[in-house]
Order: sequence, then structure tokens, then C-alpha cells
Amino acid sequence: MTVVVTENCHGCRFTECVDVCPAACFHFDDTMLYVDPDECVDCMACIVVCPVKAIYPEKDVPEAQRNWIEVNRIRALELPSILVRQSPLPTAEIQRAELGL
Amino acid sequence: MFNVAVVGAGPSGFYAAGALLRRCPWAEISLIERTPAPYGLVRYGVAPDHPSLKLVTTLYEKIGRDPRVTFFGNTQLWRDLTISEVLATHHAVILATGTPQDRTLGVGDQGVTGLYRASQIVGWYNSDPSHSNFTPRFGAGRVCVFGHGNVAADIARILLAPIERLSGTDISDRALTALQHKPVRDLYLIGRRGPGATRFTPPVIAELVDIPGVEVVIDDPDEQGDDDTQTEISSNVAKDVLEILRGAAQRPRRSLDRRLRIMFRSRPKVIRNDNGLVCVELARDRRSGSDASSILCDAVITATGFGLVGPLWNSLQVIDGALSNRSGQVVDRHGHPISGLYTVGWAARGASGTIGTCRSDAERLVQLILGSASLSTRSATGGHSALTRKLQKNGHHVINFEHWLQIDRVERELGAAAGRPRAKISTAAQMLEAARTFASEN
Repeated sequence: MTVVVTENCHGCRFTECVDVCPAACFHFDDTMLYVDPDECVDCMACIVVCPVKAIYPEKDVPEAQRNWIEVNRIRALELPSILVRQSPLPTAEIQRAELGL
Repeated sequence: MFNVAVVGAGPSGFYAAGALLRRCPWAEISLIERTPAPYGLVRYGVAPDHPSLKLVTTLYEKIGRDPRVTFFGNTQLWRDLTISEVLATHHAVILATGTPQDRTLGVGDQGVTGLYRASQIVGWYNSDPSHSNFTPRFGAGRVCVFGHGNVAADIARILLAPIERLSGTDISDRALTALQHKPVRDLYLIGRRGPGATRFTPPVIAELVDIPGVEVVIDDPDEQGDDDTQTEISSNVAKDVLEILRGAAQRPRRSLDRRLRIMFRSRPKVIRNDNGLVCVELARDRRSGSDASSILCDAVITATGFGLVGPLWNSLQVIDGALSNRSGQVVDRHGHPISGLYTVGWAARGASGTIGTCRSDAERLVQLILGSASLSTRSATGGHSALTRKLQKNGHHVINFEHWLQIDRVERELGAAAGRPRAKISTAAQMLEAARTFASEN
């Protein structure tokens, strides 16, 4: 099992999740974060700290977002790790407001 | 060469060591651990029915195996080595020693039989050698647990779990046998504040109110949740937890064999023995005042947090249950940094934050240490070789990482024979013996 980062992260890239991850399994590019499914230990600490509720346990990923499962796996393998919290992207707060969160 | 001593081989210690190895190719690390086995609370704290969380040890094992890391197991600072000699032989010393002491209820309950601390109970079901002689007695199975955080929830969940959920885990044999023969039937989980102000996290409370065969009763004297926000956790957490509790409260009553009663706004006033049982007298706070209530039970467990008990811990100043420090740099009682001495994890921040929080804290501390100009002026001769020489001279039995890997193999083999992930060796003496046997054969 693992958790999956889904579309709300895109353009936001809040990184509260990184600070609470014991397995250092988050990877990043310049739009969002991804979780390496082979490193995740299912502690679920990241889920509740995401300001835009972008993360789901794999079995709870909504139908419309299930494509993100494979995206996380593929992208995490190609991208560097992120180990500590960083500033979110400039568009983060606007997007968060648009999501009503 | 950059010699660093990390004291405490729990998660924080391993994360600090890992960050150093990654950021500084010429780092040499002495990883000093009091118990024979590494991994700290991941091995001795995480509950047996949460095996996936224990997989973080894969990461730690990789670090422990790195040729730049020398593991000194069964080696206690301030007993087998002095802090002065560790500071003299290393450029930096990082104390990742945690917060081993339980906070008390403060109600003058000394000498009460049947009053147990969280660290004892968790040590009992997790085969912690520090508690290998501890046996709780749950009598007819009515237990009060004080605390509304994840440690209290873990204890409640393990005590109420259906036996078949525990039998395939690495729970200690003696706890499994005891719970099989004398199940806990009636558990009161008692907290001082309301349901909006707990320290549970959502997945843990969701799991607790969903144990098969256990009826959950939510007992709130003011009959409504409040919206206190926690300063230490985000308000989303408290909100999600409150929703889960409200959901549990609204379920129809059934009459099941076992009961979990979550009591809010209840403070202990007196805890005393009464004819071989324990009497717990509570004050229950309502908006209109406070009611008295009492519970007669077989055992009381306190799980109200951990901390370093001050004012000093091994001559270091303690503030708010942690070592006095500024961003991880240990300071003395005048607020002056002690050159080369750092702290991370619960020892630095107090007993709050999860395993993941310790990882990012360690990452930030190592960034700070490597950026510290003053460290280059510290002389440090000897590193791990100096420690090895000193310990050998005293005939001290050090468990190195190879010895640990052998103990680990033995535990996994013993477990496999019983259909379990491992069967932990529960006394330090037996672990030392397993390590000695390995050493003499190699």
C-alpha cells in the first residue's frame, strides 16, 4: 500500500507533508510532489497536514483521480527527493482559495 | 575527517547520521546506543499491530551498514563513556536520547498497587529489556487509561484487540498469553479536556473506535464538542478527530462483550487501593461546575506524556521536559552554547511530534552543524577508534552492527517458525549471549 499525491498539489506544492514523512519518500518537480510507492510505510501522517487535501491512501483515491497512482510511481523514480519543507509555489494561495480551503 | 558522535540510535539518531553521510562524504560517525538493539521507539514503541510503520528500519539498516558508521550497542553515555571524552574525540556530539520518563498524574498516588505507567505497559508488550521483569495484573478486566493521545490510544487498542489480531504480530509472548487468559473487557480512556482538544491523530482514533467486538461509548459531561484549537498540531487534525468522535457517538448502541468508554473533561483527584482493587476518584467538569465521580477498577495506566524530569539531566539543564537548546545547539544554564554539543528529536523538542517530524528536524540540525564555522576550530582526535580503545581497555561488551544483524536474523527465524514477523529476544543478557555466540563463531 502507499499514499498518492493528486491534482490539488499541482500548482501549489505546499510541503507540510515532507516535514512529517518518516520514510523520505517525497520527490519533486517544479509543479508538485510525488510519493514513491515502494518507500511509503503507510503511516498516514501526511494526509491530514496537506492544506489542500491532495493526498489519499491508495485505496481511497477517488475514481476521477486514479490516474495519479501511476504518475506518482513513474515520476518519483525520475525525480530528486525533497527532504525538508520549502516555500509553496507563487500560485499556491490563489489555488487554495479557489478550492475553498 | 569530520568525526561526529550520535548518542541514541533511535529514529532521530539514524536520521542525523543519514543526513551527515549524505551531506558530508568525509563524515565518520560513532553511533552510541544504550540498549543492545538499535531503532529505539520504532522497535520498542510502535505497536505490534502496526508492522508497516516498522519498515522504516530498512532505511536505518542501510545507514547502520555504511562503512563510515561505527555502532556501539550496549554502550551507555555517562556510564561506559564520559561526555568529556566523547566531546574530546569528536568535532560534534548529537544527543538523540529521547525522553524516557513518564509524566505523572500528580495526585499523590505513590504506593498504589495496580497503577502502571505507559512505558511499562508498552515495554511489556514490546519486549523492552528495561521492563522484562514487569508484569501488569488486569484481574477481572476493568482498566482505566489516563491520556487522550496516540500512546494512550495504542495501549487501549492493544488491550482491547481481538486475540487473533495480535497472535500474528511481534507482540511479546507473555503479553499475548496474559491477554488471551485474562482479556480486558471494560476500558475507560480518560482525558482532562473536551473532544476538540485531544492529542489523537485521525487514523489512530479512527482505528480505536472501530475494533471488532468492542462497543464504544462517548461520555462527555457537557454533551457537546468544543472547538479548542491545539497550538502544537494544525487545526485540521483536531477538526478531523472531533468528526470521528462525533461519528462514533452517534452510532446505535449494541451490547457487545467488550466496552471502550471515552471520558472527557475528567480529572483524577485521588487514586487509592480499595480491597485489592483501585479506586479512581474523578472531578468531571461541566460549564456549570464540576461533578464528582468514581470508578472501581483492576488497574490504572497513565499515558499522559513523557519528558525529561528537570532541573538537570546528567548535568545538562532541562527546560519544559527537554534539554535546554537553541535550534538544537545545547546551552548551559546561563544560555551559553556548549561547544560541539547538539540535540535532536524528543530530547530537543520534548515528547511531541512523530517519527517523521524527527526526520526533518534532524535534516535541519545537520544543515546547521555543517554550516557552523566554530566547529572547524574544535580539536577532535580519535573519533570512533578512540572510543573502541577505551571500551576494550575496560573489557566492556560492545554490540557492533554485525552482532545486531545476527540478533535480528535469529529473531526473524524464531518468529518465522511461529508464523510471526519476529520473536523478540527480551532480555539484554540473552541478546548479549546471542551476539557473543556470533562473535566467537566468526
